[in-house]
Amino acid sequence: MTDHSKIVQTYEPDNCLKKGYGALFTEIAREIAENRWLTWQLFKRDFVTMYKQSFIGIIWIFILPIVNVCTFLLLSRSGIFNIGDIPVAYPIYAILGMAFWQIFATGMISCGNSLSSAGEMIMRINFSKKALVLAAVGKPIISFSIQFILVIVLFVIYQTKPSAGIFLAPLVIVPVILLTLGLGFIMALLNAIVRDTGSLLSIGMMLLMYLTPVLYAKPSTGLLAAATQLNPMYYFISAGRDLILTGTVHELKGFIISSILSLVIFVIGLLIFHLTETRIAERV
Amino acid sequence: MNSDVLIKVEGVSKKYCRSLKHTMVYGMTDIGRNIMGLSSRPAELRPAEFWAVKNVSFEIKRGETLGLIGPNGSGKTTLLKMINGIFWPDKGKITVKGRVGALIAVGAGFHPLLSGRENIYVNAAILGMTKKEVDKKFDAIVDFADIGNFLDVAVKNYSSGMFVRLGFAVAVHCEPDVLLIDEVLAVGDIQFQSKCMSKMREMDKQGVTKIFISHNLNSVQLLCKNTLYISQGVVQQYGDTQSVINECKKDALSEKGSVDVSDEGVRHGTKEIEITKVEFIDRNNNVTNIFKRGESLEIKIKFFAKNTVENPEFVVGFASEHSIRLSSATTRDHGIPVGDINGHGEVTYVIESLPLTVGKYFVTVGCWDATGHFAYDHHRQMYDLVIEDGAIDNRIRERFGFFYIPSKWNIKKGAN
Repeated sequence: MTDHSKIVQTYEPDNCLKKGYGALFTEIAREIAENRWLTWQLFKRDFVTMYKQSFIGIIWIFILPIVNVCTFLLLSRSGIFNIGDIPVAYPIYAILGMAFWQIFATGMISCGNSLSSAGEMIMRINFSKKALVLAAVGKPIISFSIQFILVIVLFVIYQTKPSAGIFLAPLVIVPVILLTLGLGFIMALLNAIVRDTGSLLSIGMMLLMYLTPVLYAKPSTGLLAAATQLNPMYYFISAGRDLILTGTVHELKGFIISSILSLVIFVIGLLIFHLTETRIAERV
Repeated sequence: MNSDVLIKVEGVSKKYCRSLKHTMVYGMTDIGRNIMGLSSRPAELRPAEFWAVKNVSFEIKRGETLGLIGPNGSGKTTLLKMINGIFWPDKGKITVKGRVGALIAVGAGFHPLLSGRENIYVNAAILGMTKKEVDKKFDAIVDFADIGNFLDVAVKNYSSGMFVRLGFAVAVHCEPDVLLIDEVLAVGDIQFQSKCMSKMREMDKQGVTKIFISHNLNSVQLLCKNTLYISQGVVQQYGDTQSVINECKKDALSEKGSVDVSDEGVRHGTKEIEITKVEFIDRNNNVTNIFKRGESLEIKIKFFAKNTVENPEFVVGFASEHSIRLSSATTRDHGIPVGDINGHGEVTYVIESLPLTVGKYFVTVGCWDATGHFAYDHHRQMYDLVIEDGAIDNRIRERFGFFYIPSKWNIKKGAN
């Protein structure tokens, strides 16, 4: 028999509080490290089953951005909506924006649902719930890479050449993922307890997409312009887009501040999740 | 903590909430308080909350098996889940040493669209195995699950038996030091159940510590040294399995009567006629439950019927220690008309020469309606009967089977 007798676990009410905040970080880091394989398995499961009982399967990844882009194109061509000043062909601009936006949007939704959809399992097996949330963010990352194919196809169609900055673009998704995870951890918790969170999240993501300059250029005046100034997702999306199209980040200061903010949100989200993880099974 | 004690439960309590709305509100406040570094005041009951488990303490040493019995909703599973760390106690402390495996629900975490092969890996990971371990054990798991060429078929197309077998196979192969088993053996066919039983015994030899929840008192008797009888979240009895089970059966018989110790029903019936007392009487007119082979046995059944009941049927049955039914006799088989019954009364069943061999038996006593379709009061294997014989060593008694067939030997020497 394998010797696991060194493992000793104690369960007491308010266990985390007794250990103090300092010990929490090492505890969290160890838990995540120990559960790498589990996270990978959960991610693989999510990904493999996502399109299992479906005819067009992975093509669904392209459909949402294409439909959105076409709608905006139609609205602007008919003069109902003004997309604004855009340096490149609109589809390239829009699909690129959508690719970055979708990491956040689908990531938030799949993280938010990760605990509540695993309800049965959480109530019956003791395992790292962090792995569930971490695995949930894998799907949007894969979608992003697949959508990149669409972007490249568009570059070919419009005979535009991306700048060398395209190779740096994956770096931009790091703060996006941190932000998604940080908020995702909290949303997962809330959704496990109060199911309204999930529905609110879907509506909220749609609303946020229209409020963020994803499919149109940044407005220069008005309330939306002021809001955009404070929107970290705007900085991430435009940084990614700028890098690929022009090779430089125009609003570097905003991007750096947003990245730091994302890191802070990630740490806070992870801490909150860790402190309250043990309450999920009885409430989910 | 003593190095040999693997599970230590000290004054553990857990509160539950009756209403979903309250659950949501309390959930949010508890989390809020914890985040702010405040205690969630777990020891206090709020409106709509109740103690599902109250002040439970026990410890289990390496290699021991503890039986956990009690009526439905008594807190057995809650206790098990706390030991597993699925959720945490509100009061008290639980310390567990070693890797914990849980059979609380087999196949929880299986994805219906994934094949058996894929699910083995995912499920094993969830149960805490490493990739190396799964690679090593994969064949053993498949072999134990016995799912044949369904290995690469989506799990949703499995029969429920296959599903359970696969779930069980993964769970028992994660080599736990502590295994928590909740009622899972009740599912699956006889073959699978006996396979599980032999796996349990194998684990006994390896020194695995187990907690075993079951409504089947006989398997508890077989597997567990000590037993904890819990009812309404409170420990009623804790100690040697035999004495706890006896107490538990007494409880089922007591005035309250409603304490049903088993799902299948150790005692069940409409109670139109109630069996109030059952006594075994030997040839010297003493009440006892220890007899010798060949002695006379009289079973006295006292009953009470509130209203007139037409022509019921009385049943007495015998079963082996392992619950195998050996024999039964009814008033109808014997052509005895019981007639109408009202008020108190007594029936006796007499065996003039006990044909049972040395060992322990369970006696069933029941009272059924005239058609034999439903029970007024049926006490399934509730009474112990011990057959002793000083001449026969207990260790070899299995050689003698259950019955003694009256017979004789003739030996001739020196003849041709």
